Amino acid sequence: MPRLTQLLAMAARTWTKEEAEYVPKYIRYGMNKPGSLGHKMANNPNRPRKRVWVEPIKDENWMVKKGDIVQILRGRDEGKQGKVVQIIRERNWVVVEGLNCHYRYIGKNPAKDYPGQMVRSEGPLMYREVALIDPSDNEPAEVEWRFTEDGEKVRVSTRTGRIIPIPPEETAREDGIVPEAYNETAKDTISAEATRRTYIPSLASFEDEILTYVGIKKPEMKPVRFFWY
Amino acid sequence: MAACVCRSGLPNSKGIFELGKQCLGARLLSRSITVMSSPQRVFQRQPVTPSLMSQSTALQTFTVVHTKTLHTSSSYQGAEEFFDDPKNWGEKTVKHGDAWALDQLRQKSNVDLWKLWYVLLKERNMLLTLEQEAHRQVERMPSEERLDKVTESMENLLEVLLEREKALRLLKTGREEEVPGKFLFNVFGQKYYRRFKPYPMPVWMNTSFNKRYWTFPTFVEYYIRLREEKHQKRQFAQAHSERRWWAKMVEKFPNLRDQKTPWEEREEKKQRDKEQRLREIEKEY
Repeated sequence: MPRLTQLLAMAARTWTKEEAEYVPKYIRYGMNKPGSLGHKMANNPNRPRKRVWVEPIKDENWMVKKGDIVQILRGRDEGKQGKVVQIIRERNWVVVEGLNCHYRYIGKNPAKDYPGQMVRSEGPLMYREVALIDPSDNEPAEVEWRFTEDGEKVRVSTRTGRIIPIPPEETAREDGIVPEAYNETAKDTISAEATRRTYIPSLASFEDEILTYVGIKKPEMKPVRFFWY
Repeated sequence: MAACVCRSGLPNSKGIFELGKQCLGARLLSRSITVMSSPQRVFQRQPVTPSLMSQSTALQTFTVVHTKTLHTSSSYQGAEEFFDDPKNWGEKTVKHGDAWALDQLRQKSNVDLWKLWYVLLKERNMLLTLEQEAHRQVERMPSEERLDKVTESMENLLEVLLEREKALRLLKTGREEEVPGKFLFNVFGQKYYRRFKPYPMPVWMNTSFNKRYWTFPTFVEYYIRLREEKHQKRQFAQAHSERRWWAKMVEKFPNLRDQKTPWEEREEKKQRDKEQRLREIEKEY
């Protein structure tokens, strides 16, 4: 009787080396996260899909950050303002909270005649269809990078000259830790201890330092002559 | 499942502890009882010293050691370190800090780094055990970013140690690389980097070394030229396809007409990096 892990592995599909290492020539990025099942289904090696042409926008020209308030310039929700929830750079997409939505049914069961739960999901908007808002007059504005007197790089509206601050969601950590409000746990080294300097530079190598610390004496060996070639 | 203690630390694991005393867990937790017969004959080897050598030829002796007949201990033999703090068992998320940064590790002495390595290694083993068990139980590992952080810390630690080793080597020998080497041409006319090996004899004495091919014969030059032509053809084809792609992009997105082309930008970036490197070298002198 094989072990449970072995049984599960036998039941799972086996891939050939080529299949496992296959990298498609064109990867279509969508709302699915890369590595997820939906992304793999969209990039099936046996069903190559048409290529989507995406305008190359450089990092310095990409003004919209996560958490910004933007106004939609084209489409069904033209003129409405909302907060940016997600950015997908590969497609120049911006997802705004509660706007440009479509409705779908989840968990439907035709056998039991259950239509399913209606759910509202936001659709992505193109970068060129949204515009950052000038906080002084709440109108869409053209934005560019400028330097303050202190040398800080900031986004400035060209119309009024008002600085548009970077939202906190952009600088927030992925793991959700807020350094100012963090209490150290048992396994954490306290910051005072972590930043304390104990390094004294010396000509002794790492191995020699450890041996002297432990108290092991290296045996006296006659130096052997080697020829390197 | 309240009666079943989840040793692995997962919320709903169908643990192996349900099996009872036959399972590994019970053996881990139970008091270990070992019975040894006494007295025992223990094989001892005496240390070789000049005085002993002169006295007797028999350097190996058998001595009789009396041991306890019954030996009890309630210890986990250190296996509890493969598992997390019992307070975290069954939690969906575990609070944890940040990885060790390079600048923080550079402040620490070699002995501190040596000790830290083993602390991190044990934590990594614990997290890997947890990950494996989560896969077995088809559950999500609580706070899997912990493993990435610990791995990152260990990699940073290794990088700091290698930096220090490199600096010392540069100071003592004037060499940056651990093993010297040089670029050579093989028998097919291809350039490759050979890492030197330590030989016990000089080159002129090493006959088997000198019998090997260390360069290419004259008739290979024709094939080297063919290979270069093939490489150039591929480069031209890539540049051509890039230009076609850019033309299509400009057709679809007209505002790209004002921008520089990607190959021009690459050239400019190369030039800027070269100038930057030259400026850095000048600063050192």
